[in-house]
Amino acid sequence: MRFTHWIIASLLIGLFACQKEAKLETEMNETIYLRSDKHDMPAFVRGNGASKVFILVLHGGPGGNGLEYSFGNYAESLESRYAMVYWDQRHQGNSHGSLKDEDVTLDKMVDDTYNLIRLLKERYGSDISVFLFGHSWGGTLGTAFMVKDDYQSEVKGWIEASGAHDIPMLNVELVKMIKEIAPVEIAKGNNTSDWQEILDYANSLDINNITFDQSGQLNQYAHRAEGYIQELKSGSDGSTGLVKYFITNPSNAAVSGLNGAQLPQSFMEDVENASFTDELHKITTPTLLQWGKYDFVVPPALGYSAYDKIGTSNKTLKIYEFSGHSPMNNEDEQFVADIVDFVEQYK
Amino acid sequence: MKKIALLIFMLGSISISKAQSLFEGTPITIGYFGHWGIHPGMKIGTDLNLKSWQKEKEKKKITVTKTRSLFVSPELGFYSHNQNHQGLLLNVDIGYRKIKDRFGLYSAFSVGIGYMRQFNAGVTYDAQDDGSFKKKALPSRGYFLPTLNYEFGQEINQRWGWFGKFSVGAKMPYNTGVVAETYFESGLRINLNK
Repeated sequence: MRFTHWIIASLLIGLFACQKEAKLETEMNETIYLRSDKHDMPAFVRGNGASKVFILVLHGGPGGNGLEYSFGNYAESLESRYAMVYWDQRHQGNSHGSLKDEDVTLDKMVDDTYNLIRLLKERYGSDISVFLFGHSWGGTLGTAFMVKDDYQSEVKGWIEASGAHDIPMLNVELVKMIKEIAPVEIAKGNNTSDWQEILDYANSLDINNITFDQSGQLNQYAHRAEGYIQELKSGSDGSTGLVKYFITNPSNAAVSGLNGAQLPQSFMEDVENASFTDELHKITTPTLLQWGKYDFVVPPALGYSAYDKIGTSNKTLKIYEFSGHSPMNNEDEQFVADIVDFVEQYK
Repeated sequence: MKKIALLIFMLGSISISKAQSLFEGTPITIGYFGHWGIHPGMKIGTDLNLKSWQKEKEKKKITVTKTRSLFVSPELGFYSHNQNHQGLLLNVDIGYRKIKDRFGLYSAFSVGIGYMRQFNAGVTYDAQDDGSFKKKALPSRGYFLPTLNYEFGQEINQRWGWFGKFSVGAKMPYNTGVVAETYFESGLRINLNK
């Protein structure tokens, strides 16, 4: 009987201990869940909430999780200045519930993003400044958010890092990039057989008709190609980051990995056709674009294109000379400095 | 420390050879339960022996007796995954156990069916159709959780034993599919009737 009492007491203490009123502290570390469509999505709020600046991180994938972005020097630097919100999107990370395939759409995720921003303002005060930060797939989601209705009025700025806001364009530009860089690397004698394999594959494709499967294969080659670039600066999310990720991380890595891997096929096929280039003119909010020069996964051509087409004059494009798909790790100091400049200007 | 462990082993082996098994009757199990051994939690349960039989083998002129049994174990566990959720698990395992005569060492394989109630950590806000948010009290969801389990341990004597147990479960329905949960348990088996 005592054990039963202990279990019930522990449960109640655990459940209610965290339900205190929100305080904007310099070292915040709390979890809030957004429930939408009977689906629960955790958002891990960390860092300097007293700054009243909240940066909502839209993770990559699709199929990643928010807390993957909480490791490395850049995260530590940003958390010391601002509150970072590491959110697990619908059907990804540790988001849970019971969903049907039709509940998993880009548009629903855009609405989740909108709801979460409004929730942050309800919980932490309407006077907080929210910036949206999207990396890779997060760039697709973030751009879709920015061009929908008047949603962008909820944020002070949009930060797109290596964002995949146009997947068909991405595939074409990736093939072009491989064809441009592979011969140079082969001539230098760097990983020649690997580069040749990648180049052969790129040469075999009809860039006007890249299929879903070919796109997936290209993505794998893109990650491989980046690994062969010797100019990249070493990342800052090394072994310590991995230990933290698997041991002390609130995220459950096994659940997160399987959850993201089971995104419905219909959703993945829709994502493959996601293209917002023609709608970028709708973005009138200050925008910072950050790209690695050697980003094969989302080539920098997308950054240049976005810079040309985004409809505000308050826009900046930063290309990181020694970075690939994750400049926040390759050149963390400059990456953070650029975000800080941007946030301080528009908060 | 090594001497103490050896002493426990020896005492265990002497007691087991003379006494009835710890698994006879309805011993309770109590111990740690959680993800990977790093998240706090506990579990309590019991063992019900469905059937036992013994096999004897001659090995180097020594008769070795192995006890085998089928058992069922109803259990209740609770754990807290920091900043993620608290889990309450009610499960029943059905399994097969092999106990060695010497030292009382045993291993067991079992399958379980369970119901898990997952309580969100922190505060949960429900987005309403009118654009407002409603704070949820005790926000939770229920999942069916069948498991595969491997257990090992030792009967120290007819009253005490220790065990470790690994479980892999399929939490379902989870979004549009199924996800895996892994658990580790370690604790004591106590026969209160002895």
